[in-house]
Amino acid sequence: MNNRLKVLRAERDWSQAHLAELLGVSRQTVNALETGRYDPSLPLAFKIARIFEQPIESIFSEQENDG
Amino acid sequence: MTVSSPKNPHLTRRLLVGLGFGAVMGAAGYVFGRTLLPQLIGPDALDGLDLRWSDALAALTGIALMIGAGAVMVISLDPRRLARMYHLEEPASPEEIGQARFQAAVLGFSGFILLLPLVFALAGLAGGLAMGLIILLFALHTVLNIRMWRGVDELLRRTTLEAATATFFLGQGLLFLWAAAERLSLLPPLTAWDVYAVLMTLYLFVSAVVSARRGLA
Repeated sequence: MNNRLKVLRAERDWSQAHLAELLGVSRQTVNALETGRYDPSLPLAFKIARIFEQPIESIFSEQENDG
Repeated sequence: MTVSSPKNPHLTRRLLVGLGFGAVMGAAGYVFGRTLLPQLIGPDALDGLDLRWSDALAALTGIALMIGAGAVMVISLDPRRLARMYHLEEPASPEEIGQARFQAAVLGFSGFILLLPLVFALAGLAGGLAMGLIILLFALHTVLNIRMWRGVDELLRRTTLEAATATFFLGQGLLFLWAAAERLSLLPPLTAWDVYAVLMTLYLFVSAVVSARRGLA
């Protein structure tokens, strides 16, 4: 799974800690999401989309070799 | 710009370094046990003790868990080092330090409990008393584990579930092969202690791999 989380956070000049607080997760989780080591649950993905005010598919996308 | 799931090229190297370190420490332990230990405690001190390979495995795993916990405790003294360990941008907050220490304490406690049956048996502690203490500490350990589970977010829960799932499939596979060989009279029977020692060692190894893959170690 690809994601634009780090770019979106940088555009808003938010720290990992701030995003983690908004999402109600740890900074480790934010870091794991940003580095592609962890794909979020559906509820967390919806929360991310709501916070960045973007549809899920504009934040997360399938890898070309997925499926 | 997007971030894609990494292949984590450092993981294999880190695992090999870990295995190499374990092999060196194991060899050092063997040499120590064969040469220096008999001089320290007397050549006949261990004679007559009912020690099995699973006792050594359980002892190694228990000590490894306690060393791991101690390492996290030491690292947590420096918020910057703790943040580096978790690949965080800024130093760890007091809350994050507290969580890391609590998780390390539970980890170390797991190692301590794993050592207890062996220590009690070697110390000749009365069976009922020893078992009572173990049940008491196991109950405390369970409460701490539940508290930890409720306090972490979905990443750590997913990591725990992945480690447990992988351990189950690897463990049941190994157990099936051994059981088949045992049924065919090709291998000796196992005790519950043997199976548990292997299971815990497997879980330790699998947890380390899963945590490293998620960027948690």
